[in-house]
Amino acid sequence: MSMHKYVISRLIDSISTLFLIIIVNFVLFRIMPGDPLKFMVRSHRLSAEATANLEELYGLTKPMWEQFFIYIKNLFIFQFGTSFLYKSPATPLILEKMWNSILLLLASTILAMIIGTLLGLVAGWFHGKPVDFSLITTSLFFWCMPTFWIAMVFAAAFVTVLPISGMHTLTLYNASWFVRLLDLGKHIMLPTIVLTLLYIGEMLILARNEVSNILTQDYISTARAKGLAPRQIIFRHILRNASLPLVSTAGMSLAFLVGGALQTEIIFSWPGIGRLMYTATLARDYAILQGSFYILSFTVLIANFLTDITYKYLDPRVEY
Amino acid sequence: MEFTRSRIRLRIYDLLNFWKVFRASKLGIIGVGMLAFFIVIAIFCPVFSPYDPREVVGEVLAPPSPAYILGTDQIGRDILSRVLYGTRMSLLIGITAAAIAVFIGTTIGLVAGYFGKFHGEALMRVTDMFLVMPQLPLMIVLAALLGRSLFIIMMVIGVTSWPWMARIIRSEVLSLKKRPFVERAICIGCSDLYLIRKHILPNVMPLITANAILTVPGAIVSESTLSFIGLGDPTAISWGSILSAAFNNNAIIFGLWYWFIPPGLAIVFLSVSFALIGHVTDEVLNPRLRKQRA
Repeated sequence: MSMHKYVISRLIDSISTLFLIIIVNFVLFRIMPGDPLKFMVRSHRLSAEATANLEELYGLTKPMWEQFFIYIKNLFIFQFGTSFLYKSPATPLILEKMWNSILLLLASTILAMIIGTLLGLVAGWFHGKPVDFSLITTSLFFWCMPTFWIAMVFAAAFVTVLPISGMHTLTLYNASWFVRLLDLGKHIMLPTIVLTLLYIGEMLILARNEVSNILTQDYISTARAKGLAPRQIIFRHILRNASLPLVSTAGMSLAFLVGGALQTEIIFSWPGIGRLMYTATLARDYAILQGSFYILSFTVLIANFLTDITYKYLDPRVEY
Repeated sequence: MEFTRSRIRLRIYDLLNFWKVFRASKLGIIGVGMLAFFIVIAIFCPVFSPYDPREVVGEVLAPPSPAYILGTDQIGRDILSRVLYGTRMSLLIGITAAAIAVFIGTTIGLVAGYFGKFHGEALMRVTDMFLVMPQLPLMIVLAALLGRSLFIIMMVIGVTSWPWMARIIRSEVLSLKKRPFVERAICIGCSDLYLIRKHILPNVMPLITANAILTVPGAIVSESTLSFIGLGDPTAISWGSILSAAFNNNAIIFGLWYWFIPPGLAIVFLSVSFALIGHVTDEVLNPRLRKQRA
């Protein structure tokens, strides 16, 4: 399949998935909870006249299919209504918080990929040896730990050394940019470590299986036979071939990482989209819940699409 | 009648055989031992726990002492008793939710793999959608909209945890369909239902069994996460809700380790026990893996 055709077929897939996501959103937030007005207004003392006016205003008197199209239009222009918790439109609120989450996610993804691949290389190289066994067992334990609990343990362990809440120290508001950057670094340290730990296990196992697979290939025997140093085999033959599948999982794992980031943000009060969703859940602020959920799904969808394209570009043999 | 009896004997023989291979694995035995430990606690927790987990029995936030081994919580309930009773909730929700996920995943995987291009593609689009929507936010949204009860939590976890299962089953069914014995059965004119029941399902069963066990740890962790966020059944005692209470009462800042370490370790060890049993089962039942090891 040519690159051109591949991109188009993936694009069609992604758009149909997006359409399904929109339908699910519509069903979840407009049909299921019953009366949408009750959720927005939250007052039982609304007069019949006022209710009728509001229904007219929000187009609830229109037939269902028309409401659905209006809904689609609103999702396309990222219009999710007004948050009653913050008394302002939901979308700018969400987008503002999203950058903080991206910062956290990016830092930990890069760290986890580097450390995970290196550890996986070690485990794969010593396949079946005690080193391999202990690395695999450790990552199994981390896989079974609730993220929020790892975060709690780290926060408790480092509470005297590092800040465990928020992104900035409020008293440093007027300090020089360098001091503030240092402060940010201190604050981001613990959440990043926790998220990295969460992700390392998966990377490690993937890299390990890939490496031990590659080690059985003929070209490795050839490389050994012609007397290459292990360092050369590792860097020229193994790492290069093992890095390909890691690229594709980086995109796929975003959906999983988002869940981890959400929990980490709650524990460390990191002002990201996860913490926003948490407060919105506690207050049942549906505009924010709906908006963040849609934007998150949308982002993961785009990330997956881009990863697939990159992967195809790196490895043209791929057939979908 | 005779036929049924011999079939049952065959099943028992299979099970014994399975156990013989399983027993040889140290990790598997450790997993079974850990799980047995938790099951005993779940059944006999009224005997083991020193107090009623719902009653206020002491001072508020008492540190560990001989009377209260793990101290008391923010309204004076015994933490140890609550941790012991929490085992029931985790086991119940973990296993039930995993069963729901396995049922949905297997059905969708079988249908998508067996029934040709169009239906398969359509079902895979739905599966992809579930893979793209981040699971935790989806669970939060569903639980927030549907309300807080035991049944809803199980459904929410089950309904969001099946896509991987469906993918695995589908690819296995796709490869089975190309095998000669299935093609032969199609040629003699076996009906779809017969083929699925007699040829496809028995052959994907090992895969289903191993993955069903491997779904449980995720469900246990999901349950604790939802309870922690405050979306669990408010009347239930679960490890997640103990952790939630600890977090909301500043156990981290005051370093009240006895409040949040034991329930967390319990979650980890219960999940690990299922993960170990699942991995070893996979190794025993999956002939390809066994050959690799030998």
